[in-house]
Amino acid sequence: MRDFLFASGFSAPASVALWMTVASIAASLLLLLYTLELRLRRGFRERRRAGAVAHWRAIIAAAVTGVASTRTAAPKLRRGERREVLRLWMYTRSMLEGAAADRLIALARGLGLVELVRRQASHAHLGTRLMAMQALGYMRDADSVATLAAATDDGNTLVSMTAAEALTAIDPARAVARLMPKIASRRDWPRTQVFTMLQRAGSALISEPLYRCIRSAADEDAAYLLQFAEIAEFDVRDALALELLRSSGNPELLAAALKVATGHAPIPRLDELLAHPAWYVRMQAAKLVGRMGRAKDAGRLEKLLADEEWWVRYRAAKALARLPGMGAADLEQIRLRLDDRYARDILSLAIAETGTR
Amino acid sequence: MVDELVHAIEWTFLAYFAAINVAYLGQCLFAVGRVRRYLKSSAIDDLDRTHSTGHLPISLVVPAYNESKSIVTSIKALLQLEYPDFEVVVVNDGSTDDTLEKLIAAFQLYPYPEAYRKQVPCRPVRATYRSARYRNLRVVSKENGRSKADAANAGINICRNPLVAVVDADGVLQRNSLTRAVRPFLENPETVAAGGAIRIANGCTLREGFLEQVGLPRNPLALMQVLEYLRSFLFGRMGWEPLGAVLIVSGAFGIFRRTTLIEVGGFNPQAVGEDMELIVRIHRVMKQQRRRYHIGFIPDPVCWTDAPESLKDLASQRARWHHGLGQALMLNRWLILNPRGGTVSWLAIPFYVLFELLGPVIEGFGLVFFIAGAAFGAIAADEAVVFLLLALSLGMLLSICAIMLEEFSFPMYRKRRELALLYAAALLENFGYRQLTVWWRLKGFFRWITGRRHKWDTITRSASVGAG
Repeated sequence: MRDFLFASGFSAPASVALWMTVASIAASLLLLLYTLELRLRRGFRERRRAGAVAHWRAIIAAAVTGVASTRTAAPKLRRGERREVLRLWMYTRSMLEGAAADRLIALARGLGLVELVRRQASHAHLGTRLMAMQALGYMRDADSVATLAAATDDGNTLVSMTAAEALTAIDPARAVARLMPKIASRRDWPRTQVFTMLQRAGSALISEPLYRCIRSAADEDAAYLLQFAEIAEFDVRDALALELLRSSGNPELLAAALKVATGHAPIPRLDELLAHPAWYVRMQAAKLVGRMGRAKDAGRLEKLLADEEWWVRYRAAKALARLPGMGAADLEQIRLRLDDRYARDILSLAIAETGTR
Repeated sequence: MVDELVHAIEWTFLAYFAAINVAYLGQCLFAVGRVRRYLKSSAIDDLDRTHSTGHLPISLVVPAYNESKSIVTSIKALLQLEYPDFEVVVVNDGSTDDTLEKLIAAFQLYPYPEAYRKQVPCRPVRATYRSARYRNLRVVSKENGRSKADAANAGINICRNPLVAVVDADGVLQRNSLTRAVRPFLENPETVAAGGAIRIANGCTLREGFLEQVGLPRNPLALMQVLEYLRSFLFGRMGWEPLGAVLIVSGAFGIFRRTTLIEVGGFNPQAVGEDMELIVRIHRVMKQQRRRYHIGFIPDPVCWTDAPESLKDLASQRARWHHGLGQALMLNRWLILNPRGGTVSWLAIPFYVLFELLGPVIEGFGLVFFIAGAAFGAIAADEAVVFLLLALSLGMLLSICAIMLEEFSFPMYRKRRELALLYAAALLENFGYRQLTVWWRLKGFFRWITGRRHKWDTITRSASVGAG
């Protein structure tokens, strides 16, 4: 072995260097070949995908417009094309409602896509599972409700959220009743996504279950749920907000209630809220005063311009600049009589932003 | 006696070569794992995102100094990014050309009394402007702070969103860069900073500030840098991510939680490599406070940047980077082998000290040792050639690894000719280019050692970037 290694007559370190060189050149060549193989495989996949997309796009378009009979016109879906066709189908379906969507669902049933995505809804691969659950929602597959309902308890946020969205797409009324109590406990669900989901269900459907959940929830959960009251019907929003503003001492809950109050009804304890020790309560109170839009509240807002918290000053200044009858000259007068430099700065900013110049 | 000494040095070099390459190849393996996970999770992008509006508002801070030629195109492109909620804050860092005037004219800026709190240090602000055409565009004009860090700090003070992306004024972003870059923050609430892969824009075709066609540069220096960027981003940084030890988020595009930036004091205007210094400092502060945090890195190319095409510019850039590396490590030396520092202290920092900071010193010494040894007869000429061949083949292996990773993850260079050119560059960079970079980095190393302040340079831009 030693003779073989040192056959070149090199010293020990040079021999090791030589073998390391040979090994690294060999590894480089192998990697080069692997890279070429990767490229060839990718090219093949892309060509196959492009062919399938071109073929099925025409079939899907015909189904959407109702030009073709969906069942007879569609050729058999090949195994290798399923993923691409499903992707194309979902993309098209995401843009359609009404009769065109119904025709598209009929096409999916004709092609056996429903059975496929039902099986995939419990697939081990996350991406496949999520896509399948979303597709079940698009297909309004009532037979999958139990599977999707179970998935809303999944620890993975994406899985549970996608399942919740699919349920709402299949049967909004039953989904809202089922999901509303869960929303407060699933803080991992992105708020904006929950918001969009409830908005799609519609204010008429969510108002009553939301009201019941908030009234029976602990302060922290109620404060969380209140943010979704913005999409509830106006009378429910105000009823909730005013009840809580009257009875609660929890700053988070107060801020949330101030945020959803429409400002059409008189606000209890308004001055107390404008001077609340928690800055976010003061900020929401200032915003609400702006929404109420009463010129007589200018003095209340003026006091907040010198607040220690930037956001309170900013919201107060914006609300002040938007009060009815508040013109550029009035704002300038207020600015000139302010002693506090921060108050003057923030009012100048609000004047510039609202364009009251 | 001389033979024994020579052999001892030879063994030392072999051990160093073996260690450095095992470390790099280990990074490559980690990077492969990371890319596979990323590609699997990116199947989620197939989902209909109309349901998913889970975005975090972002402020794009764009420091600009004498960017008159390209600033309007760049900002117009930024304003067209596909993201639901973002603002652009351009910081004119006391430009001596007509950068500000061009911005005022192009975006109908009007003076605007911005009320902000100075939370990180920066030179005084002269004026703030708002665009009458774009509600999400503001411009800050400040006194020149002689560093990008100072300008970025002014932007951090003024911006309002919870995430701040600091972007080079001449950087070219992909339309979906923000959507991709925000993913680490959505996936892990402990993320405080994230970066993405940066690619070289030289040779690419741009239209109205966006990338129209990817291509390789004709300039050989820029071509070599394409390969370096692939190595640096595809496994240099991605390999560290699963270990929680990313030490650099490129200054060309980095995204940060604003509260974290303020907490650590913003960018350091005294730092030569302000991007690396900031990330190392974030690690230090978080470790010192025993807080859980995450610094993310996404393999997607999010930003394309212009590489220097002249030897002078490149030499200056490399010396500056190396100087910055030494300074960043020294300023945050608390992290070095600190029992509380985890993988950052025990893996990443020793790696950067041993292989990155001291790399050119050792490599330079090795080169001189083997050439001089062969010339003076202390080493057999054929043995010296074997050692030089080893250095060459290992360098080539790493470059080929990077090309493989590129093909495996997000292949941008799709033509056969481009792949061939990359392989040619992997071979040819070992003849002259690599030795030159060793020399430039050595200069940076000695500048750091002697504490000389680096002169700020203006890089001559290639025609492709900023045009049209």
